[in-house]
Amino acid sequence: MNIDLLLYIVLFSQIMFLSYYYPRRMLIRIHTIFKNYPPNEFPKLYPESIEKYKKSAKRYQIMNHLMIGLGLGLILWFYITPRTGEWDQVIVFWYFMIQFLPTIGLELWAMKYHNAMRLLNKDAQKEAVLQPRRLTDFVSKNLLGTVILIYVIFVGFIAYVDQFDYPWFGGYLNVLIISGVFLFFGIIGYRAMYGKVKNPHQSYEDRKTDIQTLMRQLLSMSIAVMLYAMLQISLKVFGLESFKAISISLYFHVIGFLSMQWPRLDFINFDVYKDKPALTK
Amino acid sequence: MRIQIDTNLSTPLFKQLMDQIKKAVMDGLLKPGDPLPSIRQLANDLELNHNTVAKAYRILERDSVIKTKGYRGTSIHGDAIQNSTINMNDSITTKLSETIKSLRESGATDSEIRIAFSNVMKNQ
Repeated sequence: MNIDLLLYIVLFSQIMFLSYYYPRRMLIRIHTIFKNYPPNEFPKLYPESIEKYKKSAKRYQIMNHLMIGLGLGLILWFYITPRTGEWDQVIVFWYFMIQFLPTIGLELWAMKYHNAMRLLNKDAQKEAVLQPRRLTDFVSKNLLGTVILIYVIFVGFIAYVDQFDYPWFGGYLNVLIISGVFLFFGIIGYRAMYGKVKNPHQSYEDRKTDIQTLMRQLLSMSIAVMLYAMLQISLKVFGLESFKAISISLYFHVIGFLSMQWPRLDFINFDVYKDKPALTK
Repeated sequence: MRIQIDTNLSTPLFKQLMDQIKKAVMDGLLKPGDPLPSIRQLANDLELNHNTVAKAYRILERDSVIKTKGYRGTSIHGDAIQNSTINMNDSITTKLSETIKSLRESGATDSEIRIAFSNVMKNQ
């Protein structure tokens, strides 16, 4: 199959997956909450008017539609413009960065939402569990071991490739960059485990589920980022650079899929958002 | 084992924390060797200042109800059950009352005792 055609297919799949399917699932989730847990019954769930949240959801949807338009325009541009393919990977990368903006907007919205929740929280009673939280409470030792093993393999791989003195090869800078990514993930994980409570009404069980989901995502992403880095270097070594744009797009599929692991709504304790908190909080 | 504090109560927050840990030990909900959360974790979970939790932990450690061992964290002390029954405030009040009584018997006035007490506390 023609490499260009394959790139169009993979890029189209990335557009539809990250700007249509992912936001659609997110919006279904948001609207299900609006419908099944209305403000009159669950006032603590809505620190501000529901209309404001509906507008934010609409904005998120519009932004994603724009991303679809931009992505399709990009494919068209790829198709009609004669190019060497040298910059394809960079273009796909930056398209993803722009495509990711609505998700960043959603994250910022979530931060504001929790801030508003904390400001309105008048509960004088605070509760905590007298048990230390440890990483292994949330992720299996096998997953943790796999991450460590792949990191060791990655360092070995870099050391091996470094022997050949490729002029383009960054050497141990790759290890430094990946370690930097891990540090960043570590800070996110640490803040989730030991940081301030984001949602003051959330039950401890739900908070644990959230932490567990995040930790699994971070560790899975750590594996993905190392495998991707090794794949990229290998493609360059074997002169298959024309596949780099396709591989980065596939990598973004994986990242999107891993980010989509949300706890099921029917497993969440919404009673805590009622006017009188449930005793089981 | 859950702990609950009430910011509306007049009892200081660190005292509420200490009392509940001691009660949990006496009720058998916390056993010697059981690990406790770090100061940061507990303070953030209860939305308290870290110093408040640190103060409670410091006093509980002084009373040998809990013990802190570097990287291994904080856990319930081996003698926590008997040490939780001792109320340091009651003990201090009893000792001080006895001292004041004996000072009065030896002829010291309340004013002289107060000044002397204040001087001793300042010089400590």
